[in-house]
Amino acid sequence: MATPTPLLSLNAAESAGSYESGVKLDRFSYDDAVVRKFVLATVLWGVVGMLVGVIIALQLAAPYFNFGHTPFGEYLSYGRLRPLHTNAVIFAFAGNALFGAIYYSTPRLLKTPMFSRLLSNIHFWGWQAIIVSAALTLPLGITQGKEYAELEWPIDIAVVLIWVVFALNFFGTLATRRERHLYVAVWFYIATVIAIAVLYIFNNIVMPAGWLKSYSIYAGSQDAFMQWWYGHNAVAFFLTTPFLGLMYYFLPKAADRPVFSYRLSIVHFWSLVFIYIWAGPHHLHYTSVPEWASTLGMLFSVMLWMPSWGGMLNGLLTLRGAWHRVAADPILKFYVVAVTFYGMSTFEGPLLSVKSVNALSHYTDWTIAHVHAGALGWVGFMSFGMAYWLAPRLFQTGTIAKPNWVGLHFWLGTIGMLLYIIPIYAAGLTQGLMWRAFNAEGFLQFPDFIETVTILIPMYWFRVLGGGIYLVGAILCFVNILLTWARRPKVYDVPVFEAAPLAKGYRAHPIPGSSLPKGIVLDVAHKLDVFGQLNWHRKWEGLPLLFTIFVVIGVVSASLFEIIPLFTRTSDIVRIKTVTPYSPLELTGREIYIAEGCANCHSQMIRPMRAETDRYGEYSKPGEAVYDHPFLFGSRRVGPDLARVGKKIPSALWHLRHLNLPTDTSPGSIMPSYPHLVDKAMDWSRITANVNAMVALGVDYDEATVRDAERLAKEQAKKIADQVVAEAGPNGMEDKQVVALIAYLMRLGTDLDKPVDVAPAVAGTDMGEPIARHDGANLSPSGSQHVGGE
Amino acid sequence: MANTSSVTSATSHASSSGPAGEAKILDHNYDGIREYDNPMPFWWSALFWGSFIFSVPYYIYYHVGVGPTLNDNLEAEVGEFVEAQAAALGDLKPDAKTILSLVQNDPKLKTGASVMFRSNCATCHGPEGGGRTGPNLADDSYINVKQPEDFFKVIRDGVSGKGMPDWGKRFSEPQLVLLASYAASLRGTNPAEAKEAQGTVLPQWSVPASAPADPANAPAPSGTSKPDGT
Repeated sequence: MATPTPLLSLNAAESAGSYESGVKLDRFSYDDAVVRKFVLATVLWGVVGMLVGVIIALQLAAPYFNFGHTPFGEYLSYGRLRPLHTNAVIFAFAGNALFGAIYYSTPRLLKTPMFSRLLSNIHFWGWQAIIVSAALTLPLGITQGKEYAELEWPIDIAVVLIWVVFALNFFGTLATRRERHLYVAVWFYIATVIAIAVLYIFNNIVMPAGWLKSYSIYAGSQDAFMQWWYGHNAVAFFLTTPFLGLMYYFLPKAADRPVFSYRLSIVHFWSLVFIYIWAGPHHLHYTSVPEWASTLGMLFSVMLWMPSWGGMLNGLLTLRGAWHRVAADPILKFYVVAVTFYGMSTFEGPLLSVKSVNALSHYTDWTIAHVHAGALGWVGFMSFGMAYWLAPRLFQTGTIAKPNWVGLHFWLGTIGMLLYIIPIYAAGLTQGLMWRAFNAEGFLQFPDFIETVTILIPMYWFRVLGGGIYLVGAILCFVNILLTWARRPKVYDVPVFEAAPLAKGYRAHPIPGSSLPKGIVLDVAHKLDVFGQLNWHRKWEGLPLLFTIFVVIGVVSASLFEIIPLFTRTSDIVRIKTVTPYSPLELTGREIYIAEGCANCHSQMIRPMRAETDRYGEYSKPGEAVYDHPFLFGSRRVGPDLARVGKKIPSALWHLRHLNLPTDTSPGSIMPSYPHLVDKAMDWSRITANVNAMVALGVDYDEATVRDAERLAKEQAKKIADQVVAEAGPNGMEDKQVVALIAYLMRLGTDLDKPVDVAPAVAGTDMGEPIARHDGANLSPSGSQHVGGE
Repeated sequence: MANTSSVTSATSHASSSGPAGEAKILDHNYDGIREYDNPMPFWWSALFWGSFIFSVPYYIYYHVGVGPTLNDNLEAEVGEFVEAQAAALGDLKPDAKTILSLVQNDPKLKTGASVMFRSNCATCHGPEGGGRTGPNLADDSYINVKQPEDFFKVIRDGVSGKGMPDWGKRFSEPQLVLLASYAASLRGTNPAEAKEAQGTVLPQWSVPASAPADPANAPAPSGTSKPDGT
């Protein structure tokens, strides 16, 4: 603290191996400046992201707060702000927290400063620029339309570049380390750097259709698979592994206790790396993603249960002998609750992955409650705990500015979290059970979707309250950190450390042999015994390159085991003759649907269950989504499924009035209103840009459509505008944006019923089998036909 | 400071013991963080390996063996319901007599019809049939209906370009008859929030209670009206 540049020796003998004596010690200092920046950014973006969360919670409770009929309503609707919330809390709050943790702990664990101060600063400022560009583009409706992968392609490129900077900096640090062996926290950081790079790049391969618009190169079920391979593993490798690394550093530090079990660290780390990747398809149960993939997703999720709990055990049991301190130290309280919530979430995750549970929970608020138990409890509390522990050290104040506020924040956070998740669990169960309830005669008990929404409103108000309390806690943290920062010394003290460089010619201790009796048991048993002792792992820990290669193998091989069959087994995605590409106008309507974030609340995926086929019609087939770049299956039904809305509501006037003011056609609706779509003129130049992008992706439009796209679009727009008039609606809709969206909505789900001879011939279709129906059309005992699936 | 001054002193290679019979502590030391070498708890290992052992036969049963697909499950579920429904509905014919007699007679079937109406028709016609973007079905004026069996035709084929869907692919004939009957039954109920009258006023359907339909309203011999309203 006050001592000027203390010289601290970190020189430990390489006790696990041979050591040459008489080596000159290196002197070095850590770059805490960049960690200070990351920590300040964490608490700042935390407040911003959580504030947006409270706003969108309010919008669901009281749709007035979408500000639909104000001039800025366009930018503030739920569909635009929800991605802002998720991106802000994941990439800005959690992102800065994990970078701060990595930049603080990695140098200390490896006895070397980060590889390059310049790269550290490029990383920090580049990441903040990405966050700001996300905050600007998402409310403008500039989005790729895939969850947590909304950012458009120029920002994606920036993300990848910054990630490369981060990776260079991180692996450079590993290469220049003065500690032979990598600690478990660093293993988790390696997994994070590698896996996020792979996931982010391969889910974001897109075809640009202008500077601020692009379309996924994958379509339909394949795109859905790629998205949830990414989405699930963003949770795994952005919100789990780095935070486990964070836990392995900061929890034993704060508790001043040794880690419970080294061998548990080994087993749970490698099992997480090898198993997590497989589990993505559990987000797509009962959808048109092939059933084998869905089953793998479920089974690997079940297998993930214990590997995840390994982390929880190591966290909680490390506190053995320190529990008396938990009562007194609010930072430890944050960690204990965080690890407990980690354990609860990672039990609930496998549970929700079981297909029959998922049948009830999917598309409901249950998922939202699950996510927030993990996000508020695990990620949030780990980050806050870390920020409080770091602040006095980083700002060299000795103590936090307001020690009492830390405990207050802990209780506000805990109570807020419970007030959030408990009502939302109730909301999820309520809605899920209402959707599937049949009356005594075998008909849907709640046929009107809106009944299943309005009943949730009181619970949504509880969420506003709980989320608001949690936000107040976050604000307290922000202010407390700022006040601590304000007390910083004029000049930061930069301690100089000294440690020996890694010895050349180091030889690891030989791996102890098996203690099994020789001669009696087989040689293979000896080998298994040696393997089971895990002593070999110590050698790996000294070989970062080899270690990283094994992580890459774990991540990539698991990915390929699912991706290769998914993209090569044509039998999984049977083409349907009557399914044709979207018309140029419908395509641009789809662009609007994506920009407005409709998919945040509306699924387009009817599951093969009678409760769904009764309500929405025949279940969705893989062949119906083959032109969906990107897929829009959705993950939550705040509103009803729209997969067949074109069949149910072919009324242009209905859609016009509904989009302009949803309560006009649907009393009780909590959907935002979209009057700007009715007022704003179509940008006809989008038509050709969109069609060209689809052609580049291999969508089989005929030449005439490509050539005359704009004219065809105008003709269809006129037809729909005429229908509005014919239905006694207003004049002059033919050049408004809404007409494109209406065209798209009226098209949805209609292809299946088109007579085959009407559909234009499409090259490459090889399938004309009848589609089995389960929605009552063939309501006779012998009515349904097999389509011959699995 | 506490964290930075935690200078490593090389411990002996041997382990030292933790509190209360703790397993050995390893000679690892990372910025002051030490590690025990505790074994995994037995229940943890059992569940860990158990989940693998569970998974293999599960996958084989459903994807190599004879386990039912999701589609099989749905067919079984729907099939059961279909049989029950078909038995309950019987063979309903799309004629005025059947349509009007159902209006009068069958409260149990009407429960089902009202569910179908609320889930599929109420969006445009209102929950009580008073009309929203779709026409009012609860007054005496009709646009595309001249006779009771026209309800069936309009519901089955839709009204192209006017917003009325064709439900013929979605529902079976007996279900369509039931819906037609329900729509016909709404006449004259005049709910609170009703749309203005559209089309022409039709004379009352006349059927004696619990009796066959009045011959006057029996199906016309041939195409006197078309479902698309032309």
